[in-house]
Amino acid sequence: MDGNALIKIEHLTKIFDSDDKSVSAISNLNLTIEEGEFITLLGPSGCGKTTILRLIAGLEIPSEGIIYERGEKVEGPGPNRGMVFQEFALFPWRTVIKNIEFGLEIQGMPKEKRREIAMHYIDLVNLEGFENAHPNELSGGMKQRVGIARALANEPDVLLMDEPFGSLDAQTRNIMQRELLGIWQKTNKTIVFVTHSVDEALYLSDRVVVLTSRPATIKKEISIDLLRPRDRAGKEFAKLRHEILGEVEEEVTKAIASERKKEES
Amino acid sequence: MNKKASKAQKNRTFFLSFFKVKKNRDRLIHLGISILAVIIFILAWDLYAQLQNKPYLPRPHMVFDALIASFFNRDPFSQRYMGEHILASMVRILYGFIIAFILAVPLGLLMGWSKHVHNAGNPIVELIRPIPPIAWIPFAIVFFDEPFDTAFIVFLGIFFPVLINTIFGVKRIDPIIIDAAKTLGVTKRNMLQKVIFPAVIPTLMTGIRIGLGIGWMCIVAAEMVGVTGGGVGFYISAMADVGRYDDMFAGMIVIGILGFITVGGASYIERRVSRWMGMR
Amino acid sequence: MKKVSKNKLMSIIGIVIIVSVLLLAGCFEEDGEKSIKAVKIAPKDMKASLDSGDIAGYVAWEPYCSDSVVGGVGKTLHLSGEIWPGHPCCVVAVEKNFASSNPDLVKHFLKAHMEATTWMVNALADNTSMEYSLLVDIAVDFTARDEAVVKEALSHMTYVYLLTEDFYDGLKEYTDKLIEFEIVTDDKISERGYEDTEDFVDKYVDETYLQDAATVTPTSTSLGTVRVGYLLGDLHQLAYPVAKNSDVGGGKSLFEKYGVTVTDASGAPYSNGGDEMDHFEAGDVDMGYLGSAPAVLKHLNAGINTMILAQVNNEGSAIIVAESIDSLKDLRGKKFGIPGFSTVQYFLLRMIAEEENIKVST
Ligand SMILES: Nc1ncnc2c1ncn2[C@@H]1O[C@H](COP(=O)(O)OP(=O)(O)OP(=O)(O)O)[C@@H](O)[C@H]1O
Ligand SMILES: [Mg+2]
Repeated sequence: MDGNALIKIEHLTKIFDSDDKSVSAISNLNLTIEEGEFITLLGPSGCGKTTILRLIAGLEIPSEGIIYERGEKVEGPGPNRGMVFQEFALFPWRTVIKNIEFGLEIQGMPKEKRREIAMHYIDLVNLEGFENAHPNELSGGMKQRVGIARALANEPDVLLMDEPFGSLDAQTRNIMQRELLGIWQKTNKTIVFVTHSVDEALYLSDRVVVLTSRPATIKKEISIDLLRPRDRAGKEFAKLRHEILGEVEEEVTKAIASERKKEES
Repeated sequence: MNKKASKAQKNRTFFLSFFKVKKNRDRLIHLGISILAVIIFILAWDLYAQLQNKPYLPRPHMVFDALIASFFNRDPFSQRYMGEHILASMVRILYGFIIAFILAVPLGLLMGWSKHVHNAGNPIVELIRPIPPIAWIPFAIVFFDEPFDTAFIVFLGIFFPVLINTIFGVKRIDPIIIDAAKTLGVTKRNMLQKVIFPAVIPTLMTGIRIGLGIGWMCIVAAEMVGVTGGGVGFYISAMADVGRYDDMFAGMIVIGILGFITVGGASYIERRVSRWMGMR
Repeated sequence: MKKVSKNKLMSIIGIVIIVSVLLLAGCFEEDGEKSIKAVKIAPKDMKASLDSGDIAGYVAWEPYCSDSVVGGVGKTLHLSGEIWPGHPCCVVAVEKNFASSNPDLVKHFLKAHMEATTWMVNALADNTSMEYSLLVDIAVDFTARDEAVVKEALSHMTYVYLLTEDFYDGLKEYTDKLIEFEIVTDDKISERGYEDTEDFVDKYVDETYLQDAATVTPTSTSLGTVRVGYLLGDLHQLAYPVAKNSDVGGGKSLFEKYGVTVTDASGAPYSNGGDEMDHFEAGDVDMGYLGSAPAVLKHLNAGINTMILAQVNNEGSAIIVAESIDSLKDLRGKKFGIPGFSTVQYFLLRMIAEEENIKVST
């Protein structure tokens, strides 16, 4: 096995079986994620991106195939794979700081120590002054800062981010992307990022994995070697965007076509 | 604290104070309307009582006099002051409430969380729930000793709303929160304590509020049937027995006020807790 | 940090209050130990309650006393005649407006009552007579108890219709006591338009109807219908089924004999006299058999527009206790059944308890 592979996905297949139908979400997907890498899974809506992340997180069980984390089979959720949700998924009854402390509290860390760590992450995500606010008092961007800090406080090996900025307005989104890069550089975390925005994928990642329409497999892997901070208006950026957009659009068209076919039959 | 944060803090407090002023004025208007309605109600009652001129419908001031007197004179049957009757009723409610709470909350959490427990518990719950607590009085009187005979009736009245609301609260929890907790290292064992229970508290409080209201209805009904140790329900029925209707109405008003205070207090706590917990 | 400790403090205060309330309640319970705890139970359920140990004794009217004694469930601690010799018990009461608009009907009703009572007294005088066995049959039917119970109960009964001097005295004594016990407040006497208790008794008992009834003769014309209130299986009120019974009058009931049609009032039979008074007030009852106690009490307290026209019986109640109880003192701290707070039975308990210096509470 590869020496510095953090996550290794082999022949991953996921079929959702319900009473009346079975949905094949992922089909024979193979992927290796390197330590410290910022990798983005890019694909049309409904192709199975979330499902892949949930499988890595251990929230779903593969129908076939195996996922390894540092050579060990993933068999359930655990604090070493932190997740950030599009819907934030904060604990509404806990204040900002208590949300961030949550994982440490579960570990049984003494109060003073976890306070200290939580404060560090509050600092990192720029939430000073909001320690004692409840999530319902925060804006979307601030909520997601809490979500990120909460996942990071557990010091996971990998951060799984499922369209974390999907529900934010364009401006906030840009700010959050920039700050996320800063956090990534400071913490040296491995990040698996899911989006359907080509722009976002290009701006953030070391590597973009374009997925096919459902069931998801890898259509193309593209390494992005542009220096950071990247210029969204730059020539290189535009070229890459054009290339990836082509790949994605092909899949979107396929997805729409298959939807149609289903409706007709 | 840096500049940006303190500014944000300031913004928040400004925002809140603005709401407070408006809220206070609204509140005053609401209170005014409520008080006016009560006054009109009492006047209408007085008018009707005067027209009827029957002892069994005493005029408000007679009831008021009887109410005041009941706190300073022992009643002729149980030799208790109204304060003692209130205490007796409250103790019964408290016992019923505590036992209902201790049993209904864990059971509700389990029934909401586990399909198997739900399947096992639900038919029994749904069979017993429609039986009015009052229907259990004859059984309770023989089966339990004071104060648990009456407390049992209250228990039945409070148990089901708390249980149903707890189950409902668990089912209403956003599954994504459970997932988030799992990725943060929560195991099956501490999920109930760390996530399910706190998430359920606001709905649970609603159950408690509804339960307490029913509790007061139950206690009066239970105390009206062969109870020792006094109680406001006893007071009402004994006074009715000897035709002292002004005293009977005084007892009824005591129940009304106590129920109002308890349910009002519970809903105040419910709101406070929800707000304090940042929910709603 | 501050917030947390404040909330903790609040919950500690809350728990302290709850615990102290529960403890405090315990103290009041201590006090209750020394008194007899009266609880209201329907007389028909008293035997079962005594048997199950739920109550240590009870006071009731016949046949609910003899029922337990004959059934071996309890024993007689005091006959009511021992507590208050010749005390007034059941009476015939009438709604005042009914009496003033139907005086003739009322008098004919009373005549039937008088004759029934006389017949009963004669029947009881010779328990080998045909009349006695007919009386027992009627009583068994009326009370739904078996013959042994009824015979035992009948031996404690004194049926009388006359408004004797003793009755007036008894009623006044009773009224004075009600005021002393604060079950009736003294301002109620004047509120109902009486000068004092003596004036009240004089006016509330109207003997003119009974006097006129003596001269009433049988009639074949129907004078009207009376809606009659009475209590469930109360042996005191046996005059009612007797006057309705056609065998007693030789083919025609005594009511028929005097041209009176009777029907049970709506809701009758009632479980106690207080109930019956409420039905008087509701306009369901024209004339009724009930205890003099509720008739007095509810007239004074609630202004129910009735008056007393005749006696039905005196004495005939008893305190029945479990085998383990040998005196009233043994009843302290125990549950004790009463038919209701407006009944003469509850009043009898209060009288003897006062005599023996024992508190009655609940
Ligand atoms: N628990 C489940 N049961 C049944 N089907 C499911 C389940 N979860 C996902 N699916 C199906 O699997 C497919 C992939 O879903 P998934 O949420 O992974 O897509 P996605 O790429 O994240 O979509 P989006 O861009 O909308 O977030 C969809 O067709 C979805 O309906
Ligand atoms: Mg998704």
